[in-house]
Amino acid sequence: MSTQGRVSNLRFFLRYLARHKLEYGVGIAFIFTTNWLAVNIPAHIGAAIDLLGETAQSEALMHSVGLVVLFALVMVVTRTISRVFFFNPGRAVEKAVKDDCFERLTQLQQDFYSQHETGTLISIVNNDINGIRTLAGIIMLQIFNVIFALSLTPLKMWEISPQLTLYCIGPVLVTFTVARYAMSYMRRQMKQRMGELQALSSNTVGFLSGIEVIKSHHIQDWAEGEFDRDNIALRDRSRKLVMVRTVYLPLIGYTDRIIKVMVLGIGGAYVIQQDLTLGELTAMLAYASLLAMPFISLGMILSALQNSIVSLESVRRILDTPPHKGDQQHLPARQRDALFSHSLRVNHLNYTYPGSSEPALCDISFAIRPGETVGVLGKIGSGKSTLVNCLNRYLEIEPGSIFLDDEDITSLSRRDLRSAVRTITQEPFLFSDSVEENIRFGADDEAEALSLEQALSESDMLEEVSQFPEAQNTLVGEKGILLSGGQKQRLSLARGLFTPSKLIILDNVLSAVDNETERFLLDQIFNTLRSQSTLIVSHRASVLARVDRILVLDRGRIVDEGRHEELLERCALYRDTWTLQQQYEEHAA
Amino acid sequence: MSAQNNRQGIDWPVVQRFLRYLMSYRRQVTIGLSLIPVSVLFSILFPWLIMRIIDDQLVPGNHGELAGWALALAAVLVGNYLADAVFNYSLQSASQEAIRDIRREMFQRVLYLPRRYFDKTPMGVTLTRLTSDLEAISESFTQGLLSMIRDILVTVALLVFLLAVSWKLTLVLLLIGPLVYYVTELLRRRLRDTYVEARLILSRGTGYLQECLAGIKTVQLYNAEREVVERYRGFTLGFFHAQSRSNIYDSGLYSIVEGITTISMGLVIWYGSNEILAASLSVGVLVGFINTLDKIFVPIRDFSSQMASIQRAFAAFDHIEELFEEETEQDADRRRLPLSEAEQDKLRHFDSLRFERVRFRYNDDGPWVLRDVSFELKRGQKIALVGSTGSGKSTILRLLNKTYSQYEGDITLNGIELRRIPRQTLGRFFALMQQEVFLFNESIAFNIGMARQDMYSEAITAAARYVYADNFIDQLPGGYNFVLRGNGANLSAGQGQLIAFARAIAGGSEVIMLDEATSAVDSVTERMIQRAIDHVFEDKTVIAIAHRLSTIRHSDEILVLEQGAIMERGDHETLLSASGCYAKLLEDIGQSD
Repeated sequence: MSTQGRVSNLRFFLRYLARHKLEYGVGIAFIFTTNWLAVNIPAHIGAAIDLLGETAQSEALMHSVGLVVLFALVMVVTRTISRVFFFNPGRAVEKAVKDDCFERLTQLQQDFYSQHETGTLISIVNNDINGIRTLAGIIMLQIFNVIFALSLTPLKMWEISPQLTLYCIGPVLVTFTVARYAMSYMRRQMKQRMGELQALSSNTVGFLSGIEVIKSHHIQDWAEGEFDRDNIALRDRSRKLVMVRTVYLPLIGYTDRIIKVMVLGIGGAYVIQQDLTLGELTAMLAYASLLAMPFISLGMILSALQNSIVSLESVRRILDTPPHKGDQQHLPARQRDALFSHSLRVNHLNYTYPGSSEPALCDISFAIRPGETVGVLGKIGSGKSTLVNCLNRYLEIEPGSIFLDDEDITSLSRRDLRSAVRTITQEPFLFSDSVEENIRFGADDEAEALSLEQALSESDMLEEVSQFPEAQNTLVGEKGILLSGGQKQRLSLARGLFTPSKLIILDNVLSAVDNETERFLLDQIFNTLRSQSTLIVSHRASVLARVDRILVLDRGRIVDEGRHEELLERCALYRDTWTLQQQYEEHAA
Repeated sequence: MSAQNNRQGIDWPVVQRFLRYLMSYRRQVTIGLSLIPVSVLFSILFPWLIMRIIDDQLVPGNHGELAGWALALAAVLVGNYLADAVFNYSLQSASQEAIRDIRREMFQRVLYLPRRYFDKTPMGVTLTRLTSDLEAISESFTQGLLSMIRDILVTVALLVFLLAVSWKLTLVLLLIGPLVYYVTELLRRRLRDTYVEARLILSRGTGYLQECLAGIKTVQLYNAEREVVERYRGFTLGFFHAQSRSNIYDSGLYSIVEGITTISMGLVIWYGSNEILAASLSVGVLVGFINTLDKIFVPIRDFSSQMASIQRAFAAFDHIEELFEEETEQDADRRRLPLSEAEQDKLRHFDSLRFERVRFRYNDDGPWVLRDVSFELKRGQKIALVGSTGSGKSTILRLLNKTYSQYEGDITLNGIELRRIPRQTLGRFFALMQQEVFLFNESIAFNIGMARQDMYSEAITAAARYVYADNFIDQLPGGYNFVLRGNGANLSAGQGQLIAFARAIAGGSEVIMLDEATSAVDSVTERMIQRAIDHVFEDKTVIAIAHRLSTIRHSDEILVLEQGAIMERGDHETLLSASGCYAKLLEDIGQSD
């Protein structure tokens, strides 16, 4: 997908249509056949009518009637096929656009998500896409239907009587105009009504949330008045819609009968003058309906088209956002496995959140070597999580500030970086899926993974999981059993440990577990994970007493760095935190 | 809960409520209904005129009269259109009026429903009753049922007319009619099944999409992009397959009825040709027949879908009926013995409040939340309720403002049983001051005065001054007319808090029920709240759910609750030296501060 220069909506849309050339081709062939059959049926009915009452030609009459029945039968088949061959690609295009949107959404980064609400994105993928399906399905069908119907029907009518044909065009044009305006008026009104209904809903939610306040202050009358204002607005809009639905739109349904009146009045005169046979008149009556239909469709097409364009535009809000550059090339497996062979180096890293004037991280420099365990201590808001999110490139950083060996991490693909640097986040997110699927989440099939038992036991979850109703197949998350905060944390830890990585970042992971579990997990981390490097972020000093080195973070800067004992001696901030927390713990014990 | 799953057919009693509301618009309904026969008559006149024109004018070649007949035909068409338009418009707009009335009355009821209803009913359900259910009625019932009734009448009338003109030809139609119904019903049932299947897959896919977006960070940090994309494609593929099948049924449904109509034309001509030879049928009747076929088959085709949409409306009627069956607080008030003059006299000023062996549980089979609670609050006293979450502190306040009333034992206000005092009267005595604020999207003046008719701007500013909110309010653009948004999102946390405090003061209640929150607030907010609470403590009677040490210390009596029972009582020093539950509780408070 090109990132520079926006392609037009038409070209954007045609790219999707082009994948279904064959289906549309078949559809077009069948819609033509259907229309051809449709315009020939009245001719044969007319012929049959003219043969009525003449005994000698009874066989010819049977021939015409037979053709009518045969054509009708074939038409059922061709019409069905033509619709299927337009509707299915419509659905296929819907699926393709949906899939593409989803894929792009998985690639887009934090900067995109901070600007777009999840609800809006879901609504684009779920609802706005309908306009595109309509366009690729029924509108495409109607376009060809209208083209064929409008070229074949008048032709047949012209063969019977050119003047009468011209008379019939008049009412059809009126219908077209009415259909066009009434439908787009209705669409506008419906949209406004939808907004008014939403306003009523959200105000009602307000009243219901404050129901106790309303009751205890006896302002029910006021609330009723406010509610009724929305209620009346909704009713007034509904009445406008009733007006369109009952007075204007039915005019469209009368078109064929209007034409029939003209055919009978004017055509009747021709019959009396013997310029027209009764059969031809009957045929013209039948053509009345055939002629009215495409104009009605045309009105519908034009107003639906506006909707579809809006849909296209909103889908392109997702699809036109380019995924981040540099993410296309992945390293070959061998090179990727060799990452982090001597260091991860942070070199004068600065980070400022978009729209903020104060930097969240300022001039951060440090290095981690393979096999080392490093701690980061800081209060809430000191920049710990920001630092973690820079290391795993969840946040976009300037080139030249973080290096993995000698590679600038901004030149690596995120995929490669994240297979080397594993982050276990502070708020664990588990999917509504089984315990096992959650732990296997994202695991590369080729990577040598721990056994499920190992991962569970290293995160102190083995026993608990075995007591779940269906052990590792138990569903967790929204639709499954409720896990405590600590259980969620430990499952997320098991997920992080399941496949090997070079550097594990534990971002305040131990905050939700009790002291004993914390000690157990720390033992696991220090003993079993020795082969890997670990970065432990915490605001609890007790966690960090055992690491090789501690970085003390305050207001986005590293204020000190060293071992626990050193820091106790020279760093006031560290000492205060330590003393305070020790006291708390004694207190609690 | 009336069961909608075992219902077959139509449940008329629930419609009666709607019809009662509709009858408020009797004039429009009468106009609409009186036009039905007119519309039916015109529907028959149209084919009859076509037959007459062909048989009496065209076949014999009658020159002079054709124009007149053609004009008559046009007039019938215009008449038919007008009758239909007026019929539909008057009935549908009357329905919209009725729906507005129902919605208003439903909302009125909701405002007076007891707390128990809100405990057991999620807000979304109430919202659905007020919106979607009424929408379903507005769409399915008023449009579906009304047009169905007319369609049925017109179809039957046309059939009777055709029978009268030529019973033999009509017999052909009567043989085909059921076939049309059977085929469409069959296809539509298939369509409905695939529709249900498609919806199910779609909602699962949406759930997955929502989950992935919520956990996008986890997806990306675990390099699971491809995994989730594959999985999502499974959902879209399943949806695509279900829809592809429904496309076939849908297209078939559309094509077959038209095909049958055309085939019937052929059959009518074939059969009619013999009749014409035998001179028992005229050409005009035959042509008239051909031109009426679609007017009979199309309503038959639409019948089953109209029935389905009417079923939806009936489900909605059922839901709405449930709301009307709930007993409101007003209904309950009406059953109560009214207070005598003397008793009313006693309720002029707050004197004392007594709890005597009060027991309470939320459900008849639930655990006891209060067990034999007894205490007395006298004018000017300050009582603090302390205890862990779930110990019953909030329940005591809820009983006091009559959020719940099915307690056992006695609660008396100035010696009068609380159950007998209407909620409105209680407002004079108690005002709830809580940290969980609810602010309306209205002006500050409104949020303090709460639309009380006797509340003038002076009282509002006085209340604001009382809690020291006047300073910041004066600095806001528009001052007291400053309009709040999103539960006070355009104020600071502490400012919103003070507005809610001022609201509690503004009513002039003598007793303040203070509900302090457990959650910590920033120091600026803390200071603002503390000043206001100090002022309240100076000159009001207070019963407080206390979390702040200062609030507890300043109370005359402290009640320590544990699992619904009062474990200890006394003032701060006495309780502390007893070093029981109270002392332990204080430690926790000290830690969270």
